[in-house]
Amino acid sequence: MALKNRDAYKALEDVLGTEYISEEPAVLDSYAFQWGAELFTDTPFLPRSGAIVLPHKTEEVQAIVKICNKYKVRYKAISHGWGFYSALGLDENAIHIDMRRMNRIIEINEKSMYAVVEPYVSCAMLQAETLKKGLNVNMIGAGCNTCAMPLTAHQGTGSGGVSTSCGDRNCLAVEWVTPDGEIIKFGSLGSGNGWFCGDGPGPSLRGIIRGTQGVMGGLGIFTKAATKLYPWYGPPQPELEGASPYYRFKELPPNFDIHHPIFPSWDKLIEAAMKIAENELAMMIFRLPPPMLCEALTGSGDEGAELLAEIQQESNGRPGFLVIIAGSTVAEFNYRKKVLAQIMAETGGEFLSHLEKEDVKRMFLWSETRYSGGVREAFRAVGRFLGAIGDSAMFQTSTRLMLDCMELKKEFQKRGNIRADDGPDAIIGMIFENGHTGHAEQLIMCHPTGAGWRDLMEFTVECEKLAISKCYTAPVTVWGDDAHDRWGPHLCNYHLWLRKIKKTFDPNGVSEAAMYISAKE
Amino acid sequence: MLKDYREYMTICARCSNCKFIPQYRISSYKYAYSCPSISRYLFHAYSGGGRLATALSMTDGRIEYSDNLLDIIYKCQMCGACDISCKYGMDLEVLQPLYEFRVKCIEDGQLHPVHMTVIEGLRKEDNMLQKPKAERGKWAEGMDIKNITEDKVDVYYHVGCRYSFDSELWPAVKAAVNLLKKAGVNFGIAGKDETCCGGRAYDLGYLGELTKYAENNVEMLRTAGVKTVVTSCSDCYHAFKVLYDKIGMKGNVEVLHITEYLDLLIKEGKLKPKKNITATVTYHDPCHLGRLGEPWIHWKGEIITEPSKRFHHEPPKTFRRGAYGVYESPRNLLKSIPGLKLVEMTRIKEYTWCCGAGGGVVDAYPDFNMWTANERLKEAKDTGAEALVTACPWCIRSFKDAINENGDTLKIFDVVELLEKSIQD
Repeated sequence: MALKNRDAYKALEDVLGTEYISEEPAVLDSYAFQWGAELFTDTPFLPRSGAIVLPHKTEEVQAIVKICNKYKVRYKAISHGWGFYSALGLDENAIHIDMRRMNRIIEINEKSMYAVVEPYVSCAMLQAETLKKGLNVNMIGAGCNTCAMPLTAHQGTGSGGVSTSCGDRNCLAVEWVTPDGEIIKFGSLGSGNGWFCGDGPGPSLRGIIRGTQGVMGGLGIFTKAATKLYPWYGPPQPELEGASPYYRFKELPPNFDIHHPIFPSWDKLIEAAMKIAENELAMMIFRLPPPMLCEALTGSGDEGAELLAEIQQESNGRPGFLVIIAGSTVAEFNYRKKVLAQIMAETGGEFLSHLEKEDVKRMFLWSETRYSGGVREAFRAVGRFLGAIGDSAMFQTSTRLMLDCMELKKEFQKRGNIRADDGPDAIIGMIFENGHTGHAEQLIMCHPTGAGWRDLMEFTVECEKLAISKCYTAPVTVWGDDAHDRWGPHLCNYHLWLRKIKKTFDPNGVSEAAMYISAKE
Repeated sequence: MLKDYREYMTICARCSNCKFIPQYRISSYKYAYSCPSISRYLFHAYSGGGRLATALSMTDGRIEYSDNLLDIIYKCQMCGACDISCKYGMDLEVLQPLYEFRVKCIEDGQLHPVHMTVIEGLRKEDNMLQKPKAERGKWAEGMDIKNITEDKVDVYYHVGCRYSFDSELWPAVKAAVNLLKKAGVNFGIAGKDETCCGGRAYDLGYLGELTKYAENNVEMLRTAGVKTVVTSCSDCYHAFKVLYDKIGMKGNVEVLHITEYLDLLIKEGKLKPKKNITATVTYHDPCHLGRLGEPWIHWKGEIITEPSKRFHHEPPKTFRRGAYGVYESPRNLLKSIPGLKLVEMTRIKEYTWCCGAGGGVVDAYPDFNMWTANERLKEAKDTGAEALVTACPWCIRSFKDAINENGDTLKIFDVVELLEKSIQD
C-alpha cells in the first residue's frame, strides 16, 4: 500500500531526494507497529501510512506541508514516535513525517536558563549537556528517551515536576510550520528578541498550540522550540559505576538524598506531599505504586517480583512516594532535611528501609534523575499499559479521583483479563511547581493480545464517567472528536472553540487530527 | 526459529531505546547513539526495534521478501548494541530474533549475492577472505611454532581468517606468539590446517556453516587432546566460546582471548612489562569480545502470559545483558605498560560503538563499514589520544582502511603489539 497520490509522491521525492522517502512495505510496517495498536486493530500494527519522509530543516518541512496541502494528502509528524498516538489515523492517503534528522541542540542559554532544541533531541541528550552547565531539564515521565521539546511529548509531565514544572509551562518561543505551510515564529522570537519567552514581546500563540495536553501532532509541525531549564546542584558529569542493568552513582553526590516515605493513610500522604512541595524542599516528589517502584529498582522482572513481596510486607498497605532533596549548599541541604523530618513526624511518615540502603540510593537517585519512569516501570512486567489518566489540576484532587478509580479497577480485575497480581493500587502521582499544580494516573497493565484491551478501554470510559459525575476536571487524555464531544459540554463548550481553531489554521484539513480534534461542524 | 521469538517481537515497547546507548550512560549529545544502522539509514526499520517489527510483519504474513527488505536485514553489523540498550529496561531478546531472521532468509533462499560469494569461498577455501587455504599458515613461516596436529601441546592458539591472510596485521599475531613463548607456554597452532571458526558465516545467517566448522574445530581439539583455546580474534573468541555453546558443541574446552591469557600470565609473574612507552591511547571494545563475548546462558522453557499476572518465564530466565564480556583484561594490559596513558571514549564496554565490519557489512556494504569506522575514529580523536588500540583484526582492518581513506594521523594498534614492545629484551 503506497501513497495513493503519485503526483504527491513525486513532488515529495523531488524535495527530499530518493534517500529520504520510502514506501517500502517493510519500512511502513515498522512505523505502523505501535504499543496500543491493539486497541484499534486487534493486532500490534495500525494501518500503514502511504510513505515515510525524513526532512532535515524547517524549509523542507514547509515544502512537505505545502505539497500535502496542494494534493490533499494528510500528514503527521513524529519525533521519537512512541505510542499509538504517533501513527493513529494514517492510511494510504497520508504520510508520516519522521523528524529524526532534525536533532540539533540549537542553544543552551545558561544566563536566561533555557535551551532551544529541534524535535529529535531527547531529554537524555539535552540533560547530558545541561548538567555540565549546572542546569537540569524537565525529564518527561515516559522516560528520557522522549523528546525534550516542550510541545511534542503530550503533557510533558515528569517525576521532577515539583522543581522542573511541565510542558505547557516550560514552553518558551517556538518556530512553527502551520498546517497550511506558513513558518511562524512566536513569543519573543516573533519580534526578533530571541527565545526567552513564549508570550512576547511579540505575537503569542502559545495558548493555541500548547495547553495542557498539546495538539498531539494535529496542528502543523513544531520545528524548534525553547524550553526552560532549572538549577542542578549535582556533579556536571556524574561519575557512574556498574554495568547494565545496574548503573549507579559511584558516590552519592554531596547535598543529595533520596527517601521513600510511607504513610498511615492516603490523607496523610497528600498532606505530607503538599507540605514538602509548598516548603520548596524537594527536587522530586514522585508517587510510584509499589509494583512500578520495584520494577524501577531492579534489573529484571523476576527481581522486581521478589522485591515487591518484600516491600509489600514492610509497607503493609501504607502508601508512599519518592522524594529527592537537594541543596545548593550544605546549610540549605541540612535545612531541607530538618524540615522533611519535621513533616514526617507531623504526618506519621516512615522511610521504607530498602531505599535507605546506600547502594540502592546511589542507583535510584541517578535512575530517577535521568530516567523519570518509563520502560522498566510501565512495560517490563506485562508488555502494555494504559488506564485512567487523571487531570493536571491539583495533586490532591487528582489523587482523590484516582482513589475512586481504584475502587472501579478492583471490579475489572475480577474479570481476569487485566493484571491483578499487582493489586488495585497503580496510582502514579506528581506535583508541579512546588504544589501549584499536580497530576495523577491510575494504570492498568495488560498483555498486548486478548481481552485485556477491551476491559482497559471500558475501564477508562467508566473512569471518565466517574470524573464527570463528581465534577472533576478533564483528564489529559481527551483525544479525538468523540472524547472532546463528551467533555466539551461539561466545560463551557470549549470543543466548539477548539474546532474553530482547527478550521482556521488547517483549512484543508490535512494535519492529521485523530488524536486532536477535527473541524467538523 | 524466528517464530519462536514472536512473543518478544510483540512485546517490544517501540520506545527507541535500542537506538541509543543505555540512557543512564548518555553523557554527551554527540555520542548518544549506539546503533550504526539507524544512525546511517535513518528509517525506523533500520533499528533493533524496527527490525523486530519487520520480522513480526514477516512472521504474520504482512510483507514479502523484496530487495529493500533484504537491504534492511543485511545493513546491520549484528553488533548487539540494540540488544544491550533494550535489555537494561526490558526482559526480551532483540539480537537473537535478528539472527533467526537471517537464518530464515537463507532457508527461504533469500541470499545476498555478495554474501553468497563469501560463503562459496568459505566452502572452497575454509576462510572468509576467499584466499587459497594453502597460504593459511604463511604468517608463521620461520617462527618455529609447534603444530597441534603433530605435537603435544597444552594450549591451541587459533589465529583466525583475518589474521592469517591479512599480512599487514601479522605483527600482532607474531607478537602474541613471541609473548607466549617468552612466558614458557606449551602451545601450538594448526598452520595450514586451521579452518574458519564459522562465526562470521553464522552472522550472515548460515547456521549450517557454523555447525560444520564447529564440528571440525572441536574434533581437531579432541584429537589433539587440547582443553584450552586462545585466540587473538574477537570473532573467533565469540564463535568458540559463545556460539559453539549455543549450538551445544563447545564441550568442556576453555576459551580465552589472548588479552585474557596474557593478563593471567602477567598476574602469574610470567611476563613483566618493563619498557616505557610514552603515549596516550584509547581502547576500542570489539563487540564480539565485549558485549557479545558474554558466556551463553542456556534456557529452555515457556513464556507465561496469563492475563492476570505479570509476564514471566518458566523456569526463570537469566538474560545476557552485556555485563560479563571481556572488558578489563585488555585494559589491564594497557595499564601494565609503563608510561602508557589510557583515556576512555564516551561509548565503551557493553555500550561500545561498532567498528562497522560485522554482520557481513564489510563484504556487502563497504561504504557503510567505512562510515561506521569513521564515526568511531572521530570519537577516538576527541579523547586526545594519539593511537586507538583494540583487540580484534576486523576492527583493526576497518580503522586502518578508514584512515587510509581519510588521511588521518591516528595510529591503530592491537593491544598485544604494544605489550610486546614493553616486554621485549
